[in-house]
Amino acid sequence: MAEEKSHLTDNNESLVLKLLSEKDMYGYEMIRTLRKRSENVFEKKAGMLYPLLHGLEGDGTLNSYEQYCRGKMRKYYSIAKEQKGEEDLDTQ
Amino acid sequence: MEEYIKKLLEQVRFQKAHKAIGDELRTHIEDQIETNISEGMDRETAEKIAVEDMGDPVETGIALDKVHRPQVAWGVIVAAIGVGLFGAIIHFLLGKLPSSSDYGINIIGNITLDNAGYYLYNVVCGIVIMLGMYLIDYTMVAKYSKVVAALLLISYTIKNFAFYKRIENFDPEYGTEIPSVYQSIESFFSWSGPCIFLLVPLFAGILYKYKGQKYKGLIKSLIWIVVSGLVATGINNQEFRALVIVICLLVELTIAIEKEWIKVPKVQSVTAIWSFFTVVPIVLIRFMYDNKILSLSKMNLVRSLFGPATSKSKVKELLSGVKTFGSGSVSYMGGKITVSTLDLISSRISSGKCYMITKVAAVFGGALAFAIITVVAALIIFGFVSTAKTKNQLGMVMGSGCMLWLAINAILNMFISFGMLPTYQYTSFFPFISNHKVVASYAVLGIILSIYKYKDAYPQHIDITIRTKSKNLES
Repeated sequence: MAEEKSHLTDNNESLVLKLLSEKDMYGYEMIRTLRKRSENVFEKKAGMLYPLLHGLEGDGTLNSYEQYCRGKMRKYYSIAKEQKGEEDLDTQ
Repeated sequence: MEEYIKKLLEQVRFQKAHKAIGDELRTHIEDQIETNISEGMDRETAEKIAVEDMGDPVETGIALDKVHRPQVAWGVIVAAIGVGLFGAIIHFLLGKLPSSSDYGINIIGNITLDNAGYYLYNVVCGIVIMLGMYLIDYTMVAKYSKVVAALLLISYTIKNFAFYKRIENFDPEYGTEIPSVYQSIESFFSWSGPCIFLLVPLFAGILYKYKGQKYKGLIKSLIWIVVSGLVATGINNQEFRALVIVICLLVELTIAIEKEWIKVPKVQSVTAIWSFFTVVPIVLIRFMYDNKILSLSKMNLVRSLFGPATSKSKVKELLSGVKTFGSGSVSYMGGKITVSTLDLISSRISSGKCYMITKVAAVFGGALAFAIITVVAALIIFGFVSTAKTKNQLGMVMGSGCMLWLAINAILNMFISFGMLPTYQYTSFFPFISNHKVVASYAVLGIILSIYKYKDAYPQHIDITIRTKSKNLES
């Protein structure tokens, strides 16, 4: 059971990193993009995206910054530079 | 929606993270509500569905609680305590040397301590203050920064004024001081001198209060810097101390301009500020030196900076004999006479406080001096890295200023210890190790620990305005 959960978290992590490798996004933007692509891993549990994002931010995988967009202050996430370098190497 | 957020936040024990988490989730749910409405739902249904989409608030809250824990840099706390204990052993061993003529006694209250005891007393006080600073939220320091900085500057000015008045009151017949009210005033405000370095973290808070202002904010910031520099110079030839503080404040202002707290043209403003603060003092000192307006000690200081001084060569001479391990020896008259570096300490070094690194190298060898420098440098680098990782810009500026203060003092002290700069009346210190500014070194590290603690809790910007009751009622 625990193994299955960890596997799911790893998958979700990869999915988030893949999304953010395309462009910087805020939480709702990620959920909306995933829905459009029919990758509904956060269906009926969109809130669970945030512990994942905050955890990745805490361990330095992601960076965040605040920016106004569509009349609201939003927290954008981006892949940390060193992580981006590793991702580029992986894809080569 | 609010019920969902409330239930979720109840699971997150770290209160400081609540606002940032709540704001982010609220924005998400509001976005989802707008999408649902645009798809034809009424407001009530749109909100109900949006909240259902978020999932179980308790499950999410528990997951967030695991992520948002106060960060404690245990490694740094242990290293800082270790450095203090190690420093105490060194001070104890140096105090036992027969040549340590400058090692005297210190009196705290009614207790008489030798130098090692005095150092250990300062280490204990420093660690207590460091842990106190760690417990205090650094944003609180910023909130009351203007009031505290003004109080500090006024107190130090009064203390110096009282000192001047006190020394006027000497009995010419016996050469003793006539008791006066100025003694009490000076004693009452005596805390302000050792606390003057706090202008560095406080100024970060002051700058943050000017966030959003243009030239008005810039001018006010510059006035704070000039006044702080003038007051910190004090009366006891503390130009170097004031210079270090002013450099730190200028760096903080530069970062604030770069981060667009103060909205002025970046390159032009920063260039103008640094040019002004470099050129004007140099021209002024040169003019005063050429026209012999400076006091004798200051004339000597200026001369020593630009020409050879005896104290320089003495330290270099001593260091030439340092070995990797243990005390070394210096040869004179083509090797006919050799003198141990241990014996040279008392005759070649005038002020014990400034030359801690030189002494360690001369008595215990260069390897130990290098080890001490490395450990202290590692603590300072940790501070810079932690502040660089902080999302919150106020923490980043405050931490950078604090670490810069330690770094500049450490570098200046190394220049003095290696005989590249004279000391004269400037009491230089090597952070955590010298028998001077030990408490201040630990206090600054405590501020860094506080910033590190909240590094994941605070967003990029926070509100540090002091709210009055009437303001709260209005809101």
